[in-house]
Amino acid sequence: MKKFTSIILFIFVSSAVQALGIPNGQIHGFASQGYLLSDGNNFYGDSQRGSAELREIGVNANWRLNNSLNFAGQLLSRDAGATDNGSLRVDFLFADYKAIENDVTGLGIRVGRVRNAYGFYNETRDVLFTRPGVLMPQAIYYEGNGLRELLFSSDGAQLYSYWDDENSTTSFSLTAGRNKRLSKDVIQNLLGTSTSQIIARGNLNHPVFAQLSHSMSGGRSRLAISMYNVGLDFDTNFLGADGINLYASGYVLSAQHNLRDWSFTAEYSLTTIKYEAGLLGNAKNDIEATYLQTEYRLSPKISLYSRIEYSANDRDNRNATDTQHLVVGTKWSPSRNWTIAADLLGMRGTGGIPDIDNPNGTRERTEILAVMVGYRF
Amino acid sequence: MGIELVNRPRLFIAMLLLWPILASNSSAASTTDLPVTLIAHESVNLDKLNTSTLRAIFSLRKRSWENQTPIKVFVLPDNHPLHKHFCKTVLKIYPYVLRDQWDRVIFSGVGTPPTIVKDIEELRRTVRSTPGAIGYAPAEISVSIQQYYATTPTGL
Repeated sequence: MKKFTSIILFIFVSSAVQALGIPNGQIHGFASQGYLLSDGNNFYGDSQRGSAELREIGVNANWRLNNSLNFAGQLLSRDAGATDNGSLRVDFLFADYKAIENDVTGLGIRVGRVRNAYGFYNETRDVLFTRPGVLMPQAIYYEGNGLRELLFSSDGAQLYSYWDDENSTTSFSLTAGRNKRLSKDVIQNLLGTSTSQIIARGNLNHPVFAQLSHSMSGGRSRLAISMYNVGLDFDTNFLGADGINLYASGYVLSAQHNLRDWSFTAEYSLTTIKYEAGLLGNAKNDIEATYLQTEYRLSPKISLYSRIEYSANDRDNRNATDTQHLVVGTKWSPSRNWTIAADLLGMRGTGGIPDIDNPNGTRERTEILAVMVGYRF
Repeated sequence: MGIELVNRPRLFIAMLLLWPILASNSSAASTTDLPVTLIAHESVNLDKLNTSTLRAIFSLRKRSWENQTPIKVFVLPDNHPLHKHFCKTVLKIYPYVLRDQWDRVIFSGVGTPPTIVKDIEELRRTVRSTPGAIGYAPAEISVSIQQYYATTPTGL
């Protein structure tokens, strides 16, 4: 029950905070608790017996100092089986200076810990209310295999701009992060439990993210291309041995069309990873991923969705490394503050299955029932 | 669980196709026919606003008026008939698309979210007393109150 105490506490605290308010600013937050039941493999905790190890709690504040200067920050605690431990961290915290603004364009810069623009959902991926269903598309967003930590935020600067046309908006953002040390958890997620034991330290180097997006008819249709480039280096525990260098770069193409009752979303990504491991040699592989999602709004409160995902961890060796996911789900929002979502997933292949939740190895097929209740204010 | 969905592609594809269709109904939208108009604090000149600028304001991209007053957006709850009507007829955006845009702003910190007030009366009162404020009201109410600089934007 201890696990749920934090959620109950959050709801009490949130109503108090809401009543307080801040001048020229706002405070918002969310808390969601999931339950997973799976067959084949574990997904976030011992889900083959039923797991409640999926929980996200966040509180954010924004404050406007004057016309051009804004501040925003969010604290987040996320528990996701063995891949995330629920510790409290600063999700984002930045100053936002808007240097130019007129009727058709704007240009500004954010400095601090900023969310990287990557695909449609990365910037708010931990908020049940903003993502498609309980679980993010595993293709593209790499929830289970450690890349998420590298994708979601950068400590650095983000240049942003937009141009409004009569019936469309074009936006651009460019994020450059500074180098940072990787935590043990991130290294374990990335390299697996056994390999990570020979790693003394790891660093993330020169992360760069860029996104160009185009939105037509006030968001009825959206297109985006996102690109990124990061370097990683790992020192091993063996004296005199060469370290391991890894370079990841890639792009995501995103498209969405929104009708009154229907929404169609598709994303495609290609990621190239180059390894340089000294005497162990060099290697390169292309990870390809795509999904197609359909959402139907039965009413403003209830939606149904389905998604087909495909990914190949090595594009040159698809047959041995590909994964397919089929997802159907429903979301019910009885009030503005509450949402309940349920996903049913069928997976073939092990892409997106967290290795560290399955220490005895993974199986080829997985079925998951995932249910999540979320509260926001 | 034994639900080997991927083993049975035909069953699964049938589910994908049929679920939304089986679940669909006529879902007649309950919009009001009330004319809606923009209202703003007296410091704000609504004359020159076209659809594109209004979208930039209500999508939270544009942050200040020409006279450098910060823009403050006030709206009714998502399910209020006047809010839906405003989205559809003035902004020409589906209410759920606008909500998605606001949630991205709220949970990524990249702008100032709109302030939601509970009813039309409170919306009118707050907009009247807050410099830089913009909102909306049923047309017949706003034209009867002289303090408002209320107009129907051109080009809509």
